[in-house]
Amino acid sequence: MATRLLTYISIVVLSLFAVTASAAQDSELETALLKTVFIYNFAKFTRWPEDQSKPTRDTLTLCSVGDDSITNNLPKLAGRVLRGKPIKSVKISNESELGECHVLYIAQSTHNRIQEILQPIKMRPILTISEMQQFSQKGGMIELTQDQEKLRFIINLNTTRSSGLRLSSQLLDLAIIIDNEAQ
Amino acid sequence: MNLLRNASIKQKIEAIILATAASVLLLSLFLFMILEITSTHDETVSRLQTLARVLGANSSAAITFRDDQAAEEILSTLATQSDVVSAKILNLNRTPFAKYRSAATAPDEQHTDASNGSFVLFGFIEVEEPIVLDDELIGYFVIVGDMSNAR
Repeated sequence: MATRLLTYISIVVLSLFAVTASAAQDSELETALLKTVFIYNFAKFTRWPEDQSKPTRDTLTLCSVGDDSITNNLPKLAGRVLRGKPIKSVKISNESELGECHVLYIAQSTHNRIQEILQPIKMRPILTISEMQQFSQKGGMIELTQDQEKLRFIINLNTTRSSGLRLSSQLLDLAIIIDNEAQ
Repeated sequence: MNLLRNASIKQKIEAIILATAASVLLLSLFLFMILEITSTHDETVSRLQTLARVLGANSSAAITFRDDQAAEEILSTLATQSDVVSAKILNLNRTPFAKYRSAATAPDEQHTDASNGSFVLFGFIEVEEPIVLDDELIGYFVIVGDMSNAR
């Protein structure tokens, strides 16, 4: 009798654990998807300089470095058309490929070599985005951050401005702004 | 008619001219009123449509980045328009994302399926404009104006 009761309790506890774990996983997937949509939307509110090479002019290349749930989601955006240009998704394995990127998402897994990635593309019109802590202060442009329930973003205006990118005032209105130059 | 039975032909002609003139005057007045009301209605609709289009365009970032507070701040700028009683931003699935209601009395919640259209109900006019970003429909801007000034 006691064994049977113990079995029932174990089944109930295991089921509850499985349901909770599954809900947490769903929530994580949902957050990752939302962040991917944010990256797509950042591109919508960004203007790149006109004087770009032809392949760069004809497509909008979304690149990613490292590995996380967002880098896995980004290829889903490939083929969509943004401001008349088809989106191309590229997973960067070699830093020399960074030149063709319009948007570069940097996963947290690349934390140790962040300067190696950012240094060669400094002053180039590549919109860098990451959810790495202090990313906007390390030379990145847009840092995704969680504010209680809401997903927010910090924009380093100085880095963005010096790269030749123009961000929409609407986007800036929603962001937390860091402007080293103004300081 | 009995009044004119004993009247002279001159008086009869004068009466006919007077009646015709009065009818024409009344008809003109009536037509003028209709024209004035239509014109005021069209002007109000056009102004509300422009407001909805401009504020809708300004709300596109707030919608895409799901910032309802920013959207409500944009809607609150309508406080300067005395004839706007309420406004709301709807998501693609037509659920309200942000709302505004003027301090003055606003009509009860009204619903319309008339996209790009307007309708008048008890002196209030509702205008709806789609919010488009980069050729992609992202939501709707609904604005309700008070037509009482036109009445």
